[in-house]
Amino acid sequence: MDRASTFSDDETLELLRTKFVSYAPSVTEMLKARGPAGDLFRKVVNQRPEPKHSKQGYYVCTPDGKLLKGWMYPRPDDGTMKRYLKEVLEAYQAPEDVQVLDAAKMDRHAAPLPPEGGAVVEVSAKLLEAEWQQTNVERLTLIRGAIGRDRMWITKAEVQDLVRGSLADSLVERMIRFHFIDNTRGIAGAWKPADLKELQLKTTPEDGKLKIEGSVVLGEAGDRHFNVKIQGILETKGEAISRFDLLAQGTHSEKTTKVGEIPIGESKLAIAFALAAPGESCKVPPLYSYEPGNYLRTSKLKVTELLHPVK
Amino acid sequence: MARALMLWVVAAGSVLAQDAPTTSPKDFTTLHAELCKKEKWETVPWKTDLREVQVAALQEKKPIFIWAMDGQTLGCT
Repeated sequence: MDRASTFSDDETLELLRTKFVSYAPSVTEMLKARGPAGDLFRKVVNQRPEPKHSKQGYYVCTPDGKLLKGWMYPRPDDGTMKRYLKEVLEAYQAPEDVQVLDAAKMDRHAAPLPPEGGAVVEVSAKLLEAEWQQTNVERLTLIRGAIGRDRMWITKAEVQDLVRGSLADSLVERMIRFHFIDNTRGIAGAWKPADLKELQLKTTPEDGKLKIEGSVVLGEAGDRHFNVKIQGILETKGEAISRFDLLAQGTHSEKTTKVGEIPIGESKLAIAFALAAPGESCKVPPLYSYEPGNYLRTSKLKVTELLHPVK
Repeated sequence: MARALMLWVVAAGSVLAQDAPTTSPKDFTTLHAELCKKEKWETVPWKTDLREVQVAALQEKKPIFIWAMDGQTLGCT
């Protein structure tokens, strides 16, 4: 879906900010979540009869899980959301004597937290230039210009490396494999270690900052290719990261996709990284954090071989 | 004097990276800011913990709005 067009109406946004408590989880993870939170979530979404093929979409409910409105279409939104929000507010009666979910029984796997002592970086991707097939489907044309969002985790050890002025191999690989991807129109696959074909990286301490320049060549046999230029400025203050501004951009192409449509030929893809502000933004897990053994691992990495070849 | 650490590796048989010019500092700042700029949907105070949502809804006597997508609704979806 296109988030920007779905939530573009100012009155709708003001209602969501002030008259509702707004919750945005992963439907995939919450449907599997164990414990009372998962039970409550499933109770709500299972009251919506349509569509049958997906639980994605929107729900309005009471704190004890009674569904008041539930819908997924139309897409893009045609005013349905505002109308439903107002209808709920006109008739809403807050329930009494609701038992609050037991905090001790929350399933952390459904909402993993960042590594302790680490940092969270916001990742934003956009196709700056692309050529597309002709289409009459409005939803497809809207999403072509979308900005893809994700988060990147940095471990405590990697923060400590940055404080000492160096960029850990594990962080370099995580950034490239899991975040140098086109996620602007849906969930894209991570790069495999063998897809890293070339890596050139220069880190230069300058006026208390760490300047980063480099390039990466990524290639999946018969499918995706991404030739990337990297520029960045990192800063630390005390024992913490205070700035993580990095830009990766270059030519991208792919021949197959599991979601949406593919641009014709090569496109220009840009991905920006910036330190997340404290608060809810830091609680949004990276897409691939559900594979912690893969996402956060720090040994036997392909990038180590590329950066330090064994002769 | 600033010290530069240069790391060069070319894997055997690989394709060389493009030698395109680096983005100027102004272009870097502009493009970086453009991509990181918050969109309207991000101005809603979305919560990610259902227990916190429930507690807030009870305290404030408000209904709960749920926006649920595959992947991460507020991230990669």
